[in-house]
Amino acid sequence: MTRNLIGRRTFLKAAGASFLASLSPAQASQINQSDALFAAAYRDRSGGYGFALMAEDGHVVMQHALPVRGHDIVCHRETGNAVVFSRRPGTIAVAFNVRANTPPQSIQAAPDRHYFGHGVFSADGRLLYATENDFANANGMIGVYDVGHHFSKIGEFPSGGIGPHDLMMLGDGRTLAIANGGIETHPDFGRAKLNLATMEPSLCFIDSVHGTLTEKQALSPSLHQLSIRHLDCDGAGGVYFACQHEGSPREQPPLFGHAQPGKPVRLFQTEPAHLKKLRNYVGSITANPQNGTFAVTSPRGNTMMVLDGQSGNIILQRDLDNVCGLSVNRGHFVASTGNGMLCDAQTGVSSTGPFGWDNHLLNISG
Amino acid sequence: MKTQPRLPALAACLVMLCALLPAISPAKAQTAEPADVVRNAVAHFIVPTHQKFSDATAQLQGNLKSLCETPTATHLSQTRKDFDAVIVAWSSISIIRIGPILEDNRLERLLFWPDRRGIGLRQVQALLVTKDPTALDPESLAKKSVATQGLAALEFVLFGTGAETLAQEAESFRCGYGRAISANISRISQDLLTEWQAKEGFAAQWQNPDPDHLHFRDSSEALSTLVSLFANGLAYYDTVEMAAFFGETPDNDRSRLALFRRSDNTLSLLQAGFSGFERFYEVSNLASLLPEGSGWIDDAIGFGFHHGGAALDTLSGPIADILTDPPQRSKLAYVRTVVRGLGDNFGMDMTGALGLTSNFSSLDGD
Repeated sequence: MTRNLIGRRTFLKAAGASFLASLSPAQASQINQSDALFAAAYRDRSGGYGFALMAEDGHVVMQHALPVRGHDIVCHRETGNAVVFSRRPGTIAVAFNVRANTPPQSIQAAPDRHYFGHGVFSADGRLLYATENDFANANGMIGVYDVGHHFSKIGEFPSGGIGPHDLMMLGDGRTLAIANGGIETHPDFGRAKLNLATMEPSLCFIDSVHGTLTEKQALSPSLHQLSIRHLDCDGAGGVYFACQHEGSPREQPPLFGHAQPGKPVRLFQTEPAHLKKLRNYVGSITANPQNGTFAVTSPRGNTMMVLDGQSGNIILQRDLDNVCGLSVNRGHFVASTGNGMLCDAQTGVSSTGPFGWDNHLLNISG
Repeated sequence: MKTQPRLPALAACLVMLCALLPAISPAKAQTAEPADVVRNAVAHFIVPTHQKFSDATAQLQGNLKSLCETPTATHLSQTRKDFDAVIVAWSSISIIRIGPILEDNRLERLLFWPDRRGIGLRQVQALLVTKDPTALDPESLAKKSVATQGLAALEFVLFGTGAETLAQEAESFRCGYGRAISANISRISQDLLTEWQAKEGFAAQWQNPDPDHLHFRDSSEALSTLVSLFANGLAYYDTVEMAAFFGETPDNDRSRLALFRRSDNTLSLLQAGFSGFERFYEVSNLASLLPEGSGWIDDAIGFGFHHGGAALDTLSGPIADILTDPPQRSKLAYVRTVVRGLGDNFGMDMTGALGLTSNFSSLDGD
C-alpha cells in the first residue's frame, strides 16, 4: 500500500541511534545499503506468524512474533506509528513505531468485536480507525482508537454494511472510504461465510468526524456476489477497488473498478483471456498516483497486472507464484509472494527472504 | 523477537514419533503423476460418493411419498432412517466444496448452515404455519430462500416440533413440504453427479489442465486444489462443524448449535466425515506423489486417521450427552487436536513436500 509513507532518510534519521543500536551490524548495514524498507506480516517455515521489516533485497532487518496470523500493516508518515492487524476473525492488533526502539504494544478488540485485518490512521495521526465485526448483530463497524492514549478505543460507528474489510482516508483528510465485502461471518464458526446467497457488498463514504454515512455505492444486483474487498487512493479524491467473486466459478465478472463520492461507481472491463488469469480473486490493489496506474494481484491465479487508471487497460502482466502483496517503490510496483519473494514488477528483479509474506506489503521508506 | 512454532504439541509429537519409526512405512518413491492422482480422486471417490448421495436422496424421496400417502409410524421410522443415510452420504459431499456445488448456490440450497441467527428455522416454521402452497412444488420451492429447501429444513420437518403428525395425517402440508424438499435435494444431487461425470466442464478440466482452460492452467494448480480439499476441509471440520458446539471449556459447550442434532445425526456426521477424508486420501493415492525423504508425512497422516477414527468410533449417544460425559468429551477434544494436526500435515507438510505454492496467500484468502 502506498499510503502514509515516510522517507527512508527520515526513517533513518528519526530512528537514529536507538533503532540502529538494536540491530546487528549486518542488519544495520543492510538498512544503510538499502534504498527501501518494506513491512509485511509473515509465516515462517515452522508455521509461526509475525511481522517484519525487510530491505529491498529481501533481508529481514526486524521481526516480531505474533500469536496469530497477521494481515495488513498501516503506518503514519509523520509520527512513524504503525499497526499490524490480525487476520479475521482475529482480536488483536500490535502497534509499534518504525522510528523508535520501543516495545510493541498490543491492542485488544472489545469482547463483542473482532478485526477484519485492516485499518487507517487519521490525517493527523491521532486516531486509528479499524474495520470490525459486531458479530452478534451481523453489523460492520469502524472502531476508533486514541493513538496518544495507548490506542484505547474511544468510539465506533457503523461501516454501512456487512463485513467491512479494507478502508482508506481520502485526500480531504476527513472522508473514509470503506469496502463492505457483504459477507457475514461469526467467530463461533471460524471463517465460514454465512450468507453467500444473499450477500450485498457496498462501498461507503463516511464522514470520519461525525461517523455519518455520506454516500453508499453498490454494484448492480446481478453482481451481488462480487465482494468488494480492497482499496487504494487514486490521489485525486477517489479510490480504486478490487473484488473477489463468491458466485459461480463459471462466471467471470469484472474484478476491479473506481469510485469517487458523487460519481457513479465504475467497473473496468477486462478481456476474458486476461480476466480468467485472476481466478475471480484479487488479493491486493495498489495505486501509483504519480503516473495514474494501479496494480492488482491474484494469488489464486499466480499473476499480477499493472493497469492504466483511466482506461483500465493492462499495461503489464507478470506470472508470479503465490503473489499477493503490492507496494510502490521509486515509481515501480513491487510485489511480495507467499514464497518469500519481493519482485519489481517492471524490471522483474527479485529477491527471496526467509519468510512467506502475507497478503499485503507496505513501503515504509517512500 | 523469535517466533514460536505453532504446530500443536500433539501433532508435533506424532510427527516426531513417525519420523523416528521409518520402518512403519518406508519413504515412498514417486510413482505417479499429479493428473493420475486427480483422476483417482474423481473416479474413485468423488463420483462414487456423489452416486451414493444421489441414490440416498432418491430413496428418501420415494419413501417420503409413501409416508405422505400412507402415514404410519413404520413409514415415518423408515423415512427417518433414509434421512440418516442421506446425512452419512452428505458427509463426503461436504468435503468436495469445489466445482459443481458452487454453481447456482447449490451448496447453500443443499445445506443452509451455519445459521447462527436461526433464519432458516424461522422461515421453515413460518411456511408450516402459513401453509404456503408454493412450498409444495419442487420447482417453486427451488426459487425460495435457500434456507427453506435443503437438509436443515427437511430435518426440522422430519424431526422438529410437530413431526409426529407425519405418522397421523395423510397428505398433510408438512409431509408435502418435506416431499418437495426431498425432490429438490434429489434433483440437485443428480445434477452434481451429472456434472462430475461430464466430459466437459470443471471435472474434465481438473483432470486435464490446460493453459487455455478457465479453471486449471497446469497440473500444479490441479494438484493444489486437491490438497486444499483436505487442508480446508479439515479446517472446516474443526473450526465450524466441531467448534459450533464444542467450547473451550465445558461451560462454553453449545450442543443446541450442533449440526443435525435434532435428528441425532451429529456424531454419525462427524464419524462418516472423518472416515470420508481417510478414504479420499487412500483412493486418490496422493501419498504416491511424495518425494523420497518425505514418507514420514504419509506416516503422520496415517497415524492421525487411525487414532482419530478409533477415538470417534468409541463415542456413542446424542451430542448433548457426549458433551456432559467427561470421558467422551475428552475424546472429542483429542479428535480436534488430531484433526488440526492432519490439517497441518496437508496444508503445510504435504504442500511443501509437493512443491505447491498455494495455501498461504491464495487459499481461504482475505
